[in-house]
Amino acid sequence: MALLAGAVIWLPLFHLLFVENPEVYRTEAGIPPKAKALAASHIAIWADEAGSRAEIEKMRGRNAEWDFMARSFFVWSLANMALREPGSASATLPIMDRIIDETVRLERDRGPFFFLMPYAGSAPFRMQPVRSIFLDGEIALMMGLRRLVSEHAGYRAQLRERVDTMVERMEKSPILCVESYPNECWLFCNSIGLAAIRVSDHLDGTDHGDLFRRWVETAKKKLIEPKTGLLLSAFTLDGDVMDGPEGSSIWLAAHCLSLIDPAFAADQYLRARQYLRVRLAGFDYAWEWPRECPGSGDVDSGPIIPLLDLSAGSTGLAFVGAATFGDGEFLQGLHAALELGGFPIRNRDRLKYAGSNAVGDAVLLYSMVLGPAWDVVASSLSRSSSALPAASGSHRLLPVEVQP
Amino acid sequence: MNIWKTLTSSLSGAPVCSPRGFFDRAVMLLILFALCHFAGLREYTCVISGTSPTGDPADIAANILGLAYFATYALALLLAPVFLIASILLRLFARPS
Repeated sequence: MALLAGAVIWLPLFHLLFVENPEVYRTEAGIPPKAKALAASHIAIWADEAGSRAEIEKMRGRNAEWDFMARSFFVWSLANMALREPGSASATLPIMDRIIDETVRLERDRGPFFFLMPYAGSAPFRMQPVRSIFLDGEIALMMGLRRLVSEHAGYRAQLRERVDTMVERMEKSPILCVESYPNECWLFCNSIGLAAIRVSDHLDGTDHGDLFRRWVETAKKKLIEPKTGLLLSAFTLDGDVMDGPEGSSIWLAAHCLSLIDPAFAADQYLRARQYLRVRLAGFDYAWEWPRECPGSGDVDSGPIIPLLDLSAGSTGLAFVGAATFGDGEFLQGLHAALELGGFPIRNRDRLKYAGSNAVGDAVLLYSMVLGPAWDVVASSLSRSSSALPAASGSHRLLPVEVQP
Repeated sequence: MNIWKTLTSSLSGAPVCSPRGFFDRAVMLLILFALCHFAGLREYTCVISGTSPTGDPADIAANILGLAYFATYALALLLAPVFLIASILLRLFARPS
């Protein structure tokens, strides 16, 4: 009886130990203190401090994609931080350039499969020559957000080439989506690709509004799972379903699509919140799959914690969704859960989450600073759309062939 | 030392359902967690995100250490305070035999 009374008293209260003041992780202007501390740890990784790069190597042992995504999310974060505090740009721009240059060099020297999982080589890509929108989209967005902070002539041409590649291939695809892996189109990668094209439109005065409209129309017709109304996470180049809605895709897709069609993105976010959010004893986390269409675990979802069905991948990216759509209540519960189960390690001005890894921490950092880049791009997008500009001149790409 | 025996008996030899028995168990759970914490096992909790602490996904020992930290943390956070509260309630409200 005494134990039961103890549980009744303690369990509803203990989340209060972990609830933080929202200003710790989210501010309208400036960089929140938690983001500064997380960024300091990541800067140490890229400053090559003794042993720091081992963090990246640990992840590559499990999944080479995580190495790549840690770079992307960190560069996107630094760009938003520089827009939040322009005085910090002089320190962050060289780091962004170093990461982008090294990533492009590795892709060029080691081949497109360097940042992909091994099965990428198990079958031919249907669109030839081989390009993965996983790489093109994230690298393009890195270059685009970097250029939002300060123009960079070299990245201007490289961004144009990647955007032209993605657009040309989207136009050849029946579902306006491009392969990340052989005959596998992932919502996550394609939505990042669309956001990168949008950023490029803002920077270079192009207009892909017509493509965006058709993409959303096609997605609503062909890529929606009927029970939940959520976008599928993976499908073939012909639109055949491979994986239903997944938390590790939909939260970030909603974030990226908010630049393309804000109403559709908000609808997807609210549906994801309805079907994937879990609130337990004052803490929030996310499932990987809706109960209505269960899936099976893979490396993207990360381990699923038994009983709770907590997915590290979905929960981490839910921070991005909640921050994008100003969902303060969800965000507070997520941060409480992060302090409870993320195992923070604070060392002077640095913070890292031992329960996470470098890509997880980069996603968390991005969720705390995102906003300014999207605001800048969205503010200039009221102009009407026109036909797609043709790829021409030095940007003309190798002809793309679609294999049946 | 048989940890299980220690946990299921009491440091003081008091019965389980007594103020001292509950208090002792709370202290034991906290000590167990402190041992894992000061042994540096917090770093090993990256296993819950699917990352090997040593970079070798097949390193079972490292994974077990991470899970051990996770388990003692959960017990110290969830169960030890319940034991402490139960101990206080018993001391306050239980009739002396």
